[in-house]
Amino acid sequence: MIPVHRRDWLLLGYFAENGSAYLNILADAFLHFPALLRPPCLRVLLKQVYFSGIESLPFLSLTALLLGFTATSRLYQVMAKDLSRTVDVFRSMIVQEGAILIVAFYVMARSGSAMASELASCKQHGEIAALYRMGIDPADYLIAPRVVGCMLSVSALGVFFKVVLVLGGFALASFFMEWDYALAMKEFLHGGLSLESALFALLKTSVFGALIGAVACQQGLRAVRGPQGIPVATRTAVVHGFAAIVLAAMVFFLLSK
Amino acid sequence: MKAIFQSKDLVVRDRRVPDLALDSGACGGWQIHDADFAIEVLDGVTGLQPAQGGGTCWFGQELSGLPESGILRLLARTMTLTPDGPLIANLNIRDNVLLPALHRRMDSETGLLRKLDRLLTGSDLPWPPAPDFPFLLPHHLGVLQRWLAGLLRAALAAPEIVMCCHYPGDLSAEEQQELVGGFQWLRNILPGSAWLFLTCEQGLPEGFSGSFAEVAP
Repeated sequence: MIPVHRRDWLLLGYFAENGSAYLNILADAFLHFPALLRPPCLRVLLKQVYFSGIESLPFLSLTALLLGFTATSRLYQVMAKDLSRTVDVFRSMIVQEGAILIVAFYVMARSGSAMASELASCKQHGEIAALYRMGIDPADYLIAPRVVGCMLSVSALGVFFKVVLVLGGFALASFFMEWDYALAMKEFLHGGLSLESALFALLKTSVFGALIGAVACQQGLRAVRGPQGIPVATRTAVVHGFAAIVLAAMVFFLLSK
Repeated sequence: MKAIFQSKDLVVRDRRVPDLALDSGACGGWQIHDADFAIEVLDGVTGLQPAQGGGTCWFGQELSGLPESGILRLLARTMTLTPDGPLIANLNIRDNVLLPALHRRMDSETGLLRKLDRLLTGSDLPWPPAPDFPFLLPHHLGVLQRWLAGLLRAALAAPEIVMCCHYPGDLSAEEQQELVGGFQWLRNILPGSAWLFLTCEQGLPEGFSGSFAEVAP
């Protein structure tokens, strides 16, 4: 039995080790950014954007639509049909905070897990060594396109999700209950859509995307040989990814105060 | 002529790899009886795994003193051939074959595709490619077709050294004979390249005039 205080140190060491590994991968990805101009790396980047971004659109559209409607109608009831307050809470809670988190969690669960298992499989089949022997830096071909692809995908999906959330959610609400669509939109736009907040949201989604890519790549590349290697890498990537996203969200919240 | 590859007292898994120096156009190698050990020697030679002693010298540069980017630059002037290609599982054969040449920006994609097409339709190809060869995934191919993909990749990338890690495995005597023809075909395309064999069959590269040393089991 490990004494409690020693266990705490081990836990801290675990966080520190993983945190520094993820930061290393992020640094690697950005240092190898110029490699994205090479055709094979550019192709991996485009594939990543397609799989993480474009393929996610149908499911995220439906989620945004239903979430927009559910949140609007519930808040409208709780706020005793005060449209102005409903829109205000909807904007600050759902659009500014919740939407980005949902997108990030979705991409982590869907694409992050796929990336981690793909890289773990690459490692087990000796493909990373094969790339190295061909003189191709795995950071050029495997890490940079995936991290940048995730950043672009999550940023674009974040904007898309918010637009569907507001337009679709308000439209559905006006269809199913006493909800003045035009007035709600006016209130929403009036409440503060500044360039500063848009850039901050973009920065936030980019950081979430980069974290998803970094965690998935790190866990995939760290996979051990044997039948447990791929499932363990995938599971750890998803768990660490969620934790990293929540931690980053908290840092952004503190920064924005 | 200047030696472009030298093993200098390299030790892998407690076994000493005999010293070897290769000039441009020369051929040499080590006779190795175990496929896993062949890969370990390859990893030691290319700096992928730290050797237990000694080192290797590429194009006049000691590998041990170089940063990773420097090693990769040297390795980009070489090409490894193994029974599995080595091919990337989620890329089709065409993309696999073009990968190193495209990454090194040796030519435009169109130019490289034209060269590949010329090679594939050439009458001197060592054995015919499978139907739809460029668009198949590696797991669709048999051993000899994988070797063909590796040979085509080397032909397009035009390396200065070809490192060939060969263990007959699934190949019949007839197929091995064809494989020797494949190596000869590649050597005709790359006349100036040096060949380094890690093989358990000394008889295989008889078509090549080379110096062989045995790594004691």
